Amino acid sequence: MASNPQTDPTLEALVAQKYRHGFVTDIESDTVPPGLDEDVIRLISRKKGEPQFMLDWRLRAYRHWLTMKEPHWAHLRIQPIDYQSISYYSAPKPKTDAPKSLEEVDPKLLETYDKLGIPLHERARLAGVAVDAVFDSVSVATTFKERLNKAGVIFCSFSEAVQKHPELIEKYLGSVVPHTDNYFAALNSAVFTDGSFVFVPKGVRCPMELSTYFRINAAKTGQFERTLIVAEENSHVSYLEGCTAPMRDENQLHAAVVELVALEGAQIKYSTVQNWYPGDENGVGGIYNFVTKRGECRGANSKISWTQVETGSAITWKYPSCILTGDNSVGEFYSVAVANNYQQADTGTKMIHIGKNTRSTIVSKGISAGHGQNAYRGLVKVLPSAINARNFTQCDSLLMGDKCGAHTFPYMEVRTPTASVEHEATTSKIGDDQLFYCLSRGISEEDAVNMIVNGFCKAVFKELPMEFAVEAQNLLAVSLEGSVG
Amino acid sequence: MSAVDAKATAAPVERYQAAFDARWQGNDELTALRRAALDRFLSTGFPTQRDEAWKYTNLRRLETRSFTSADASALDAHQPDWLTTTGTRIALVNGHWLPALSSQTAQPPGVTVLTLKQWLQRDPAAVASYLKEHDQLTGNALEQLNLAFFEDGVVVNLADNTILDEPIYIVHQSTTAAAGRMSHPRIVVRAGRNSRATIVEHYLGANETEYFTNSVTRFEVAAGGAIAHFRVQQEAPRAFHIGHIQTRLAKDARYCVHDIQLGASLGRTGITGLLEGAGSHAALFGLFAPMGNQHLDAHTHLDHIAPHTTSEEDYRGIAGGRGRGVFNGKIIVRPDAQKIDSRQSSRNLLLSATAEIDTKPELEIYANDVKCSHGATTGQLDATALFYLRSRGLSESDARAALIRAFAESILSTIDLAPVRAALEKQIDERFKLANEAKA
Repeated sequence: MASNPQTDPTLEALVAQKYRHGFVTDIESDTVPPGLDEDVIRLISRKKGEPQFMLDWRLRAYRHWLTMKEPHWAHLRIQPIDYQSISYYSAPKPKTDAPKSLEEVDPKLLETYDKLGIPLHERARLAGVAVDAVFDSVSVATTFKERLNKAGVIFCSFSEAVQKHPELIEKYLGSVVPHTDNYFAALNSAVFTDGSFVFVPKGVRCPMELSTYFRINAAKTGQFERTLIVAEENSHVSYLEGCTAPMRDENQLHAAVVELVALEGAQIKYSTVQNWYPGDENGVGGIYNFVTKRGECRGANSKISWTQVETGSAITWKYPSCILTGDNSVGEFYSVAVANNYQQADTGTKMIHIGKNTRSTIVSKGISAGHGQNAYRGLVKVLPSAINARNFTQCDSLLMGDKCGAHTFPYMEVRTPTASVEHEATTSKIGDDQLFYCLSRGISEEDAVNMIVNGFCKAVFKELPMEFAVEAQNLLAVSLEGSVG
Repeated sequence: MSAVDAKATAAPVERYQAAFDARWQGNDELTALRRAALDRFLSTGFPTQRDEAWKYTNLRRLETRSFTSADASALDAHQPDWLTTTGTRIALVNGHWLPALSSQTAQPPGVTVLTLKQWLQRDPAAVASYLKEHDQLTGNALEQLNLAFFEDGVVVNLADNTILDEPIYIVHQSTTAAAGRMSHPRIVVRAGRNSRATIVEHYLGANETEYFTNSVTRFEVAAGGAIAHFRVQQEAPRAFHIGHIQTRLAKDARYCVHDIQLGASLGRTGITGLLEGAGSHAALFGLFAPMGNQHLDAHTHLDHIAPHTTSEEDYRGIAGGRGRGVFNGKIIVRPDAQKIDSRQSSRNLLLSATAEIDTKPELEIYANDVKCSHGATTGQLDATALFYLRSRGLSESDARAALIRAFAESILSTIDLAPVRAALEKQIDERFKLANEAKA
C-alpha cells in the first residue's frame, strides 16, 4: 500500500528539490591564506586586538592540539580533513570601520538575510529578538543593545567582549570546556575568530530571547565560533541559535565550542536549529559540524536545558552536555536529528550527576531516510556523591527507506544506590496502518508522513520557543520531502 | 624448567610465549594453527580499556599473573556442589577429562559425545580443518589464546531429528592443584536438522585458589534445531573466568541460554549469536551478582543477518559490597534483514554505596521494517515494598532478602530444568542472606 518512492514521479520531483538556502554572496573577504601555525594564531589575535592572556591561551591550546590525534570512535565515515588547507581567518571587508546601526550594514549582507527569509530589521522588530548575526567570522550587526543594557544584560560578539569585559572572559573562558578537552575543542580554542558572549547579572530575567544567526560564506573558510553564556545567581536567559549555509562542493569544517555557566538558581535555555548545507543527494559536499557544547550547573537549584533540531550538515558530531555540580540542579536535553540522503549524525548528550538530588531528562528523536545514518550516543554518569539522582532517557528512532540506519549507544554508569536511572529506546518505521488510515481520510501521502513525523517529534518541538518551533516544523518537512518509506 | 625462570622477568604477553613453547612443540597442522593463534594474541596483547568492548573491564590484574597450563589431576568423589541432573555427565577437572567421575551410560542413538582429546586422537585432521574453518580469523585476543592453548573439552554431535530428553551436563571443576594454572576448555556442539538438546555448563573451583579459565563454547544449530543452554559460573572467589559463547543459527533454529555469573574475582561472558537463517530465534537470559570485590561482566552481541529473525534478551544485575557489574548488549540488524523483532532489557539493582553498575544497551540498525527496543534501569530496592514487608513483621534483613530474591526470580523462574533452578535459588538466597547480615 505505501507506494515506493523510487517509482512515484511526484515524489521524485520533491526529492530532487535543491537546497533552498544555497547561494554565495559576493563580498570581498579579508582572508588569510590557508594553513595553520603559531604565526597564524598570532595574526588572528593581533587582528582582533586581543589582550596577552588570550594569545597565551590560544597558543597553549594550539600546542596541546599538536599533541592530540584526531578521534575516530564515532559511528561516522569522515573524509580526511586537511587542516593546512583551511583558511583560519576571514572577515567581510568593512566599508566604514564598524557599522553602528542597520543602515550602515553592507546592503549585500542584508540581502543575504532576506534570501534566507530572515529580514533582520523586520524580524528584530516583529519578534522582539535581538540578533547578533555572525557573517562568517566577524559580527556585523547587533540590535536591541539598549534594551538589554538597561536590564544589565551583556550580549555582544565575542571579540567585543574580549575588549570590553576581559575580566569576565578570563574568568569563564575554558572553565567548562578546557582548551585540552578534545581535538576539535583544542583546535577551536587556538583559532576561534568570533562568537557570542552573554552575561546575565544576578537576579535578572533577560527581557527578550537572544538569537544569533550563523552563516558560513567565504569558500574554504572553516568557521570556528565560540559562545560563552554566564548566568549569575537567580537569573534567566533563553538563547536561540540557527544556522544555514550556502551550497558548495567542498566539505567545510565547522568546529564550534559553546560553554554555559549557570550559578545558583540560574536557568539557561539553549535552543538550536541547525541547517548547514548537508551535501547534495549523492553525498557530495556538505558541512562537517563537529561541535563541543557543554553547560555546567555550578550552583544549587540551577537548570540548563538544551533543545536542538538538527536537519543539516553532511556530518553532525556533537553531544550537548550538562555537568550537574550544584545540588538539586536540573539538566535537560531534547533533540530531533534528521539524516537524509548521505547525511550522518552521531549525536546525543552527557549528563554527569555530581550534586545531590540532581535530575536529568533526555528525549532524543532520530529520523533516518535515504542512505542517512543516525546514531544516538549518550552518557549518564552518576557519581557516588549524587545521592537521589534521577535520570530518564527516551530515545526513539524512525526509519524511512531501507538503506538508512538508526543506532543507539547509551552508556549508563551508576555508582550510588539511591540513584534511579531509566533508559528506553525504540526503533520502528512509519506504520503501514497509520499511513493507510490517513490516506483513507483523504490526506495525501506526503501530508500524512509530515503529520506522523511531526507527531513523533512533538515532545521536542514543544520545548522550542514559538517562532523556532514553526521554523523547525517547516525545516523538517523540507528535509524529509520524498522520503516516504 | 628453564621456561619457568624466564617467565618471572619477561613482559606479560611474552610469558605466554614461554608457556606455549613449554607445552607445544612439533610442526603438525594443529600446532601450526595454535602458533598462528598465539602470534595473533601476542601481536595485540590483552585488550585494554581503550578497546570499546573492554571499556568497563580492566584486565591488568589478569595480565600481571603468570599462569601455566594445568595438568590432569585426580579428584576423589563427586563434589557436593555439582548439579544432580540425569543424563550424560562429563567432568573436566582442571581442564582435563576425568573418566572416573563422568557418566558411563550408553549414548542414546543419534548422539555422539566425545572429549576433544578423543576427537583429536581419532581424527586430528578433522579437528584442524574444523578449527581452521571457524576460528582462524575470528574472535578477540582471548579467543585466540584459547585456540593456542586448548587441551580438552567436549564435542557433541546430534544427528538429524535426534531428540535428546536428558540434559548433557558438563562440569568444569578446578581443584587446589589448579593454583597458578590456566585452562582453556573448548566445547563444540553441532546440532543436526530438527534435533533438540539441553546443555548444562557448570564452572566450579576450590576455595582460595587463584587460577584462570578461558573457555570457548560453540553451537552450530542446523535448520529447525533447538538448543537449550544453561551456563552457571561459580568459580572460586579468587579465580579469573573469561567465557566466550558463539552460536550460529540456521533456518528456524532456536537457541536459548541462561547465563548466570556468581563466582570469580573477575568474570566475563561474551555471547555472540549469529541469526543466519530466516525464522531463527535467540533468547538470552542473564543474571550476574557481583559482591565483595567481584567484577562481573556480561557482553552480548546478537547479529540479525537474515530477515524474519527474532530475539529477546533479559539481563539482571545485582551489585553489593564493592562489586561492579557490567552489561553490554548489542543488537545489529543487517541491511535487508527486514521483519526483525528484537527486545532487550537490562535491569539492575544497586545494594551499596560502593557498588557500581555500568550498562550499555546498543542498537545498530540498517533495515527499516523492524521492531527493536531496549530498556535499561538502575536503582535500589523499592522503599514502599520494603516498608510493606516490614509492617508484616519481617526483619529488615529478611525483607531485603525477599525483595532481592524476587528481583532475581524473574530470571530464575524461566529456568525449566528443575535441578539447576533449585540449586541457583539456594545459592542466591545464601549469598544475599550473608550480604545482609554483613550489612546489619
